[in-house]
Amino acid sequence: MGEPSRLGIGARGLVLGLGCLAVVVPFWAVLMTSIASPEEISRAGGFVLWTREPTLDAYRAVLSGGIVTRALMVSTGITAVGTALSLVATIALAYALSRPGSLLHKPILLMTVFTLLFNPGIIPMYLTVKQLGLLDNYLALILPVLLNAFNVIVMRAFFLEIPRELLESAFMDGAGEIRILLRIVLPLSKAVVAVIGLFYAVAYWNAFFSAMLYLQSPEKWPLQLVLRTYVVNDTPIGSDQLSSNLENLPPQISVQMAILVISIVPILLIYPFIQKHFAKGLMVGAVKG
Amino acid sequence: MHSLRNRWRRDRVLLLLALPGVTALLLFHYLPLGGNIIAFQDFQPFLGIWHSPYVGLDNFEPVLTGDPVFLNALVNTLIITLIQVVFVFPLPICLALILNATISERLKRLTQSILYMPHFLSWVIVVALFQQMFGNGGMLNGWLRSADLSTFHIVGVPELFKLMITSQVIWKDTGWSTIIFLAALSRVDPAQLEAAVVDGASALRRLWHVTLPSIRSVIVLLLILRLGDSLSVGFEQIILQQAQVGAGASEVLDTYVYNHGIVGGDWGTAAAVGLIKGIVGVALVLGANRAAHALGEQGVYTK
Amino acid sequence: MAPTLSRRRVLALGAAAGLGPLLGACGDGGSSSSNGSTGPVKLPTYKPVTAATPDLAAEPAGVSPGYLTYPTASGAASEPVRGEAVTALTYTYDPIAPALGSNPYWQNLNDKLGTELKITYTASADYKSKVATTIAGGDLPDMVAIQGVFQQMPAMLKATFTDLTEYLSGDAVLAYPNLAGLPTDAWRSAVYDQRIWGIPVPRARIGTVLYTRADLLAKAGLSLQPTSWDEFKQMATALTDERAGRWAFGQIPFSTILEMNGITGNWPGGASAWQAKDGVFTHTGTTPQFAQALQDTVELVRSGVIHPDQAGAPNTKRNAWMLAGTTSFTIGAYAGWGKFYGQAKNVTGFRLTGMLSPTRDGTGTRVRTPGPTLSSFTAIAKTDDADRIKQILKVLNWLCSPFGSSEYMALRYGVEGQTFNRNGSDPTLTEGGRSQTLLPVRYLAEASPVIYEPGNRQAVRDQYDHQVAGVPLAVPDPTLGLYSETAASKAASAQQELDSVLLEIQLGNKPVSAWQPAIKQFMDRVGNKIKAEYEEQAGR
Repeated sequence: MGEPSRLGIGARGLVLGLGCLAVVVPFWAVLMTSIASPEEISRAGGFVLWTREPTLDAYRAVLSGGIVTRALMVSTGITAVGTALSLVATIALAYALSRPGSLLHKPILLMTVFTLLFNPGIIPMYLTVKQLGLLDNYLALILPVLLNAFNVIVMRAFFLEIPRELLESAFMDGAGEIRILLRIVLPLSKAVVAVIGLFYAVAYWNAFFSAMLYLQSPEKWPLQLVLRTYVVNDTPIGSDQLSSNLENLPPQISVQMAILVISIVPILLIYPFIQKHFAKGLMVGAVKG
Repeated sequence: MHSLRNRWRRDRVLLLLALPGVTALLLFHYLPLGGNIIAFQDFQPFLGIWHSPYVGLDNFEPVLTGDPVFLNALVNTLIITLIQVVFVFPLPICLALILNATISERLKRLTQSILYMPHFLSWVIVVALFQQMFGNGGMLNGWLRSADLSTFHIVGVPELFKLMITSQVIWKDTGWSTIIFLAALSRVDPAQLEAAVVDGASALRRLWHVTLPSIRSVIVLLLILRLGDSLSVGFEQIILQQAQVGAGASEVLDTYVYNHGIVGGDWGTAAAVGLIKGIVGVALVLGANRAAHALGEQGVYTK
Repeated sequence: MAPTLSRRRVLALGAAAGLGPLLGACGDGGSSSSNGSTGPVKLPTYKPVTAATPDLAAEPAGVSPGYLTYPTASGAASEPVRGEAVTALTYTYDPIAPALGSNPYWQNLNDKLGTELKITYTASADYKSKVATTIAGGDLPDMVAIQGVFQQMPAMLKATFTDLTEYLSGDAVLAYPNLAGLPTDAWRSAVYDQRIWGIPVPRARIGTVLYTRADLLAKAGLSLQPTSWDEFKQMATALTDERAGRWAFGQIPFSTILEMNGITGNWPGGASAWQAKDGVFTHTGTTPQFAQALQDTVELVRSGVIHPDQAGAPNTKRNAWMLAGTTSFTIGAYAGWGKFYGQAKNVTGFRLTGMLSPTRDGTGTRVRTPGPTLSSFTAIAKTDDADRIKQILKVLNWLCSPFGSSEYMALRYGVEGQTFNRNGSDPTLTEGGRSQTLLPVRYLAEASPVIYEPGNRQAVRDQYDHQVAGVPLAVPDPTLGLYSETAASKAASAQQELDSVLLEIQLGNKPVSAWQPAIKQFMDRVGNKIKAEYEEQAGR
């Protein structure tokens, strides 16, 4: 590539730098607030930017009783299984739809796009899940959202960009569709599969409403739903009249921030592994070779 | 002309591949979609779908009679969508291009990871953070006040509401939205770029003539999908901040459905507005797709 | 909310400045048959139950008893309730508790109770959806907490739940002594179409409190009870220092200003917004006093004494302001009073009191908006099995065990040495106990609230004094026990619009004159119909 100009580098650096700052400062506040002492929180009336007396009380309060730990495991399980299943179904459907002109191509495509525009209400969804016997079953958190039409369409678009010559020559060699998918299309599509996988993973990780509806006992709850009871349950400072329940409880906001940190860390750890697949030059090698 | 039999023989594996996905969609999307019949009922949970009485188009009344509260919500929704398509949609593309041009691989990865983090915060936290920083009693204003400067009012100002939520969306989602463009950019043919350099093209020209065209189809696709979603704009984000400016400046279709439907147990109204949104969405996607064809793009689907 | 009150009853309620005999009164009217299909239902007989003598007596009627220390001796435990496990669906305002397997408190509770309790619950914000889907799905647990009013409430209850009138009406309730100790007005809110549908979860009579940082007011040399509007305003200004980032109020004290103008009402939402006189119902929003209150509010807002970020601030934020001293006042439900202390442990000198609204010029009787009589009521899924119903009622009766009893100990504290320890006679929850006792049993059934703050006698006195001063001033809600279908099904949307206009006026975006057309529209759309429905029921 040609020499980038100094101005170019400077401008880019500035934009990126400001962007990062805009992100890091609030996150820093979140982290600091989760370990700040109650006095400092009191004084600041909310978030703090620096703590002189760090304490892990909020984390202790959140992790005691094993609820959050358990919810973490539940979320991890659902995300892993869900993402795997979703990817398989999405890749299969996107590939099947990447042949304009094939049998039933248009109807299936339209049917998929259509799901983006119309949504069933929660009561019909609940009744369907109930009828299928999936109430109180973790599958109820996966199957109803197995396919996201947006992801299918995006993946299909990427598949469509693979040069036909590659596929034709494989056909000539007598390869079947599945072989082509596995040997040619997928290896060339690592970037988009990684991205769509990430999209699904995040969606499963963040989901809470379906868990609230379909699961019977809070012990089965995923992490985000548990988080919700700390953060969103924002009614007048609790309805329990007896304060003895809450002696030495860390400030509400510290607890909220602690849970937040706990819920973000796993995703933050995974992303670097996904990033590897955005490497350049995958396509080109194939054509030349 | 292939006969049906031939086509079946040729394509049956494809249909087999599509089967799991299609089944899931049929079972969990299309089957309950029939429940939208609620839109034509005075639905009561204890009566269920089968026994709730039908009321024709009563639930559509606000839409059909042009109820001012509904129209206000509709107008707000359209304005916000317009702002977001024009100002917010291009930003991840620009950011992706900037990131892509960064030479240092490590720096690129690091900034990427930082920039996408806000996506994981729930709106409850983002709004709380925003108010802590920029609220009228927040850090910025506290500092301005103690320095005897005039305060910066953005929270609680109805005229600035749309601007405020747009800036919040930019902060939260720009980094995340670059991911898909970066994936597309990773496919740009380096050989072509090399050739352009050899031809003496400047960075800007290389951008315009080589890089952008190769991600053009992705951009168009995402734009069409975004348009199809026009009538859904950030429910949770808005409902959290609605009380600061009143419904006039902040009500959008999704909050309208919540405030005038779900809160009062009016499931029929919620379903009715959902249907309207769907119909409009279909029209928008069809229209945008056709426009894309006119520009020579594939769009979401072709004839 | 069903049954017909006799005309005389409504007058008596409307005219009484204090609630005195009414709360303790047993039943209703007296003239009706217990069958109920032709007349008002006989409410359960009221027979107060106490396990320990309070240090501060529950007088005048409606005031919660106060305990300065936890009673040392608890009475003998009652018989456990034998039978099959009981399932329940309820809500919670707290984080969730550990599962049964890791919850010794819960295990002990099941053991003492004698019946296994299986509770499904969700955050209160999601509860409405959960109940709607559960009812639509048809498979109900044995007990369901019914919070708020549903559309077509009488029909919904009849179709889905068991009519409990024969088990609880009049003296029948004496078979369940703790249930008989629940306040009569709370029962009233569980009656629809002259039938009793559930066990109420009672709330203190006192209603929403204008919480006051008494220590900050003392530091500024201000009285804890201003006696006029002018004094009130001056007090607010004295507590505000914009440059230092301090304001008097954490939200617009609209209900306080309404009370100051002699009317009641909880806005937004419009609860307790109806007055009745001689059988004629009036919406307080249509009165000239309301318009005056709006004027006063705008004036107060303009004077800059309210935190500029108050609109839409979540309660955690307002509470944080209170604790930090950023604001000196916040308005909240009485039930939350105790929780402040837990959070305020490191705020030196923290003292919380409740402030009553003064009258405008210092003369005349002060008024107070009554609080809700219950948080929810617990209904029993429709069944014909009388033995099962009795078992469930016995379970609920056990859950209503009074303060100081050994059952109460098991309910609130769990197992000594494991989930709580003693500090003198006051029980203190351990860290494990704290999270385990979050199980929302108290949102299924509990005894009438008491005032008890371990190790903080001043707090008990402050709460007690506030109740003693405030409860007699409460103006009873004439719609208590009445049900308006229009209000339940058609009013939500109109109320939203009305609230919206109110908010815009308070924020200064619309002039006060915008109220008249808005309230007129509300009355035209739904208000007059609601009025007619209430009057018809009251007049019967």
